[in-house]
Amino acid sequence: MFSEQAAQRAHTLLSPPSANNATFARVPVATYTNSSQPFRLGERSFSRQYAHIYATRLIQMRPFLENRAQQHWGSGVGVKKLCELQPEEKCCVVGTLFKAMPLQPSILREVSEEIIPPVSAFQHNLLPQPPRSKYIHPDDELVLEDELQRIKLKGTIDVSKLVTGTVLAVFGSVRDDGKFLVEDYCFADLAPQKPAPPLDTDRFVLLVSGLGLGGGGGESLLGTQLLVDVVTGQLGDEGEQCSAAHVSRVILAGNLLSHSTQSRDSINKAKYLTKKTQAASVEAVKMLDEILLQLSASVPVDVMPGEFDPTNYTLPQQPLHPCMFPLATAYSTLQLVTNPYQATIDGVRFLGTSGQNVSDIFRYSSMEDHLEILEWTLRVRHISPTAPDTLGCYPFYKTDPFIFPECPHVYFCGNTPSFGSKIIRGPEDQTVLLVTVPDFSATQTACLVNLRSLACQPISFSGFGAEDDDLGGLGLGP
Amino acid sequence: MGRKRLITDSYPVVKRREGPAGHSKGELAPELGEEPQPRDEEEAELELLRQFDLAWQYGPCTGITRLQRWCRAKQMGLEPPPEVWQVLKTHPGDPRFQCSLWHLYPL
Repeated sequence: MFSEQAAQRAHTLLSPPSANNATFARVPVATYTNSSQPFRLGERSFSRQYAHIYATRLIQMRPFLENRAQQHWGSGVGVKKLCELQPEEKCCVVGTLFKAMPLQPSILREVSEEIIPPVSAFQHNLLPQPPRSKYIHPDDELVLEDELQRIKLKGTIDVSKLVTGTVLAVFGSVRDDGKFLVEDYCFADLAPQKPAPPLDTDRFVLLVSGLGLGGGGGESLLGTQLLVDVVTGQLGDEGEQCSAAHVSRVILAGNLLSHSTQSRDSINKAKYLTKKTQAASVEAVKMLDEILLQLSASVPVDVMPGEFDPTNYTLPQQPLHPCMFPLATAYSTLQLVTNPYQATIDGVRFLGTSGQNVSDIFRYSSMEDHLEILEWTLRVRHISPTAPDTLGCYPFYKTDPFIFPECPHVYFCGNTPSFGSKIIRGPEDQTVLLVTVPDFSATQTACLVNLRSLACQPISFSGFGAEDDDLGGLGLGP
Repeated sequence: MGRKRLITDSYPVVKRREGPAGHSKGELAPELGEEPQPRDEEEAELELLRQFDLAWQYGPCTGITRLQRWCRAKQMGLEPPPEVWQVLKTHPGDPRFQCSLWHLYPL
């Protein structure tokens, strides 16, 4: 749609300079509200245990699950607590899942000094486990916990797919061996959604993630500069410039700095060797500041921090500090926002993360496709169910802010290996566009979301590298 | 031989004189009549707060103050007992009332 619009205009490149220059005014953002307030942390206190998050998660999700259970299994189904279970009686139980994974990295196992020969094949007492891409194992077990008790689950439940921290309702009965035999289970499914007001013109939002500055690769820098030039309307014909003027916002979804800026070799070296060296992230942040300056001079930009960015590690990640961007903060169009980011742009609700939640679920579940995992988090009604267990999280005590209070129209996650987009429907006619924004430093691809039609289109920028042999195809070779 | 030498032998021996009824604390009672009643009331209030801490319906009690836990329960619609709020409001700043049962233990 972007390039079709562009192709319709008359070609003006390769023609003598004209007396009058065409100007294109960027579409103004009619309404924008940033609703990431639940993810902002004020005074932080870490002298609390994580039991509070789990307790509030269960208390908040219980009514949703009881409703869904009654919709699935009839309104007469009895929802019981684990302490009220009678053997062989079919009922429904609502609780939080815990997956006991022997391969899960455990600091206690790493530092334990037992030299007793391992009982099971995968207990490495002497060496720390090497990082793997997936930590699932056929021997994983699922345990359902409610406020007071826990019970092991068996039966028709997909152990490898589910992860710790999911709140669900199971239907079945408890057996003589003390385990709960599951016949069916259900999640909280999509939250209620307010319909988006219809728009009259095409407006686009550009989603980019994984710029990966400071990584040392010149390839991605060219791609980044091309991206900035397209958005600011300095590239292409009048058609492309006109289309670029329809981009009303740019969201940078995390990993603006590359993983290599986080190298901590200087810690192991002697002080006299590292005295004058700067951290790699300093140079990278300067480059980022210049790019943001070019972008924010022309279009509103929202910058979300990611896994390798200089902000806190635990979710929700707080916005990058404006002192790092002395040039770009002069423009009010630059907005530094939190990691799970929620906003309403022209009536369309956006919600997205920089990808840590999806990649953590990828490590501990058998689901392979990031888009499938993204859809699954929406169906479970929780942005990041693994949050305190395997993904760092702030110890909330009042509410769990990662539960979806209402369903967004566009739900994205950044730093995925490839681009994907899908429209899903909910049980109450909710429509959500799911977008997995690929890592720009690897794929040179960004996503354009059309707010009017809720469709998503990839846009890729690539230059001809030295190793490209496409030049032969162009007829330039000997 | 006498008994073994204990370290307490280096301290002077002081024996408290027992009152005629066998209790030495009872002397104060007739002089200040109001003391035992507030103490009983306080004890009853502290007991109420301790029961509130141990009630499982309102979630974990460690790491947060009783007022925070009461407000959280109220916001979630769990209907915590209003008497607890009254007691907490009448004794602001007193750690025996405001902090949970386990606040002296780290985490």
